[in-house]
Amino acid sequence: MTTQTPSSFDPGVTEEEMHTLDVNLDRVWLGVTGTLWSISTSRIERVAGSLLRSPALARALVTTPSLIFSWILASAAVFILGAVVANFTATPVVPLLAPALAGVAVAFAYGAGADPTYEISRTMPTSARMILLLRVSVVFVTNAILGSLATAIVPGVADVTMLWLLPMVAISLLGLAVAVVTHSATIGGGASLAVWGVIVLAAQFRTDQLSAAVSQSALQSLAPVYLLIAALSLGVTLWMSGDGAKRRELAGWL
Amino acid sequence: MVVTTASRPGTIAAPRERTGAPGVLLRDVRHAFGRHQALDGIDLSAGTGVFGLLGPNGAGKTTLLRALATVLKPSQGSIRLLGRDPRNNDEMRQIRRRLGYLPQQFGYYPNFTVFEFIEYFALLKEMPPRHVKAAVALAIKRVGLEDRAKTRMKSLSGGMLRRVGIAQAIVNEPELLLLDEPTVGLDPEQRVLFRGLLREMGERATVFVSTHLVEDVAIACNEVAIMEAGAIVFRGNPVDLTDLGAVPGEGGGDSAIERGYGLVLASARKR
Repeated sequence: MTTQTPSSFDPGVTEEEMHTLDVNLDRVWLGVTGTLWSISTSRIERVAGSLLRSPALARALVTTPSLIFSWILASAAVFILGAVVANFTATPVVPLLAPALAGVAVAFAYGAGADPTYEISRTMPTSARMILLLRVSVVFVTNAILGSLATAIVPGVADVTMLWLLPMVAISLLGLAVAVVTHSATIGGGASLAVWGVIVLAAQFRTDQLSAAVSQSALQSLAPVYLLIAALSLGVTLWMSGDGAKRRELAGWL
Repeated sequence: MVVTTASRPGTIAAPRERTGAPGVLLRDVRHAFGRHQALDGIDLSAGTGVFGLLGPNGAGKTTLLRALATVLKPSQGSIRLLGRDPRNNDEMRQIRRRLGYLPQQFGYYPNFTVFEFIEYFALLKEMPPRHVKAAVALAIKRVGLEDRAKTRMKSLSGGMLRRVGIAQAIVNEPELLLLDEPTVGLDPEQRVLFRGLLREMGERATVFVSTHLVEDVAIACNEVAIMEAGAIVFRGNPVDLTDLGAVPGEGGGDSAIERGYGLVLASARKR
C-alpha cells in the first residue's frame, strides 16, 4: 500500500479553487451564525413587509421604540377627548383639532430629542420622514379600526370619533402617496394639510360653520370621496414601492 | 465596472456598480452656525484610502463629516460623493446606500440586542434582505463582539457600544465610511484591532476618520488633514507631518508627529 505524503497529495482542485472553498465555508458559517443570533421576524412585520414591499419600512414600523409611547399617547389623547366631547359637550372644535393633536404628538415623538439614533437615521436611504409619515398613517388607520369597533359598544363615542377619523385616514394616505411620488415627505405633509384645509374651508364656505367638515351630514356625503382618495393613494404608494418590473405589470393590468 | 464584493474573502454585500469617481470632491464648501463659521472654504478631493482628520475642538471636523454624511447641507459650495450629487434626491439615495457613518454622539435603543440593532440599520440601508443576516454576523465578527451578539445594548460597556456603532457603519460594506471619534472608549487592544479594520476598509473604500489621537492617524491613515477654524491648514501623509516635527522641542508633544501637528496649528494661528 502506498501512502501519499503531504507534498505529493493531490486534492483534485487548484489552489484558487481551494481558496473559493474557504470563502464559501466562511459564508456558510456567517449565514448559520446570523440565523442563530437573529430573532425570527414577527407575523405582523412579515405582513407589513409584503404590503409595503419594503423590509426596512416594516422593521421601522414595528420595532422602533420611540413609536410605541407616541402611539399610545396619541391614541389615548384622541379617544379620551372624543369621549369627553361625546359625554359633556357638543363642541365641534375638538374633532377639528384632534387629528392635528395626534399628528403633532407623533411628529414630536420623532427627532433628535426622542429618537436616540436620529443622527444615524438621517443618513439612511430609507427616509426618516417617510417613516414618520408612514407611522402617522398607520396610527390613523389603527384608530379608525378601533373607532369602528367602538361603534358596536358605545355608539355616541364612535360617531364623534369617526367624524374626523375617516377624513384623516384618507388625508394621511394621500400625504404618504404624494411623498412617495415626489420623494419628499415635506411635500407630502404639505399636501395633507392643504387638502384638509381646503375641505374645512369649502365646508365652511357652504354652510358658514367652521365645523361643517366634521358634521354627520358632511361625512355621509363625502365618505365615498374619502374612501376613493384612500384607495387611490394606497394604490399609488404600493405601485411606487414596487420595482420596475412589478410597476410595468401593474400598469398593464390597469 | 461591476465589482462583486461577495467575491472577496469574508464579505457579504450584494454586487454593486462602482463609478470610479473620487469618493469625495468638495469645492469651496462653507457653512456657518450663526456668526460662527464652521466650514470656511473647504476644497478637498479624496479617493480610496484612509483619510485622517485632525484638529482642536471646534475646528470643524464634525461639521465636515456631517456634511459628507448628507446630514448637513452646507450653505455654500458643492459636494460630490461617490461621483454623485447629494442635492439630487435619487442620487442622494444611491449615496446613502453606499455610506457608513458613526457620529460623535452615538445613540442606541437600549432594549435592542446587538444583532437586532445592526440588522435594523442594515435594513434601513436597503441591503438585499437575503444578505442581511450574514452581513450582520460578519460586521459583529469584525468588531470582535461575537460573544455579545444576543446581549441587549443597555448591558454593554462604553467601548463595546462604540464597537457596535462601528459595526452598523460597516455592515453594508460602504464605499464611503465616515467615523467621528471612533476610538473613544476602546481599550488599547481594541484600538490595535480597529486600526487593522480601518486599513482593511481603506483598501476598497474612501474612509474619513476624525480623531484627537495623532498616533491613530500615524499608524492607520494614508493621508491626513489638519483643520483649524473651519479651514484645512495642512494636507499630506503622516510621514510629512512627522518630518515637520523631526526636531525635538519644537511644537510640543512627545512624538515627532505630535510636534508636527503642534507646529502646523501654531503656524495657522499666527496667520
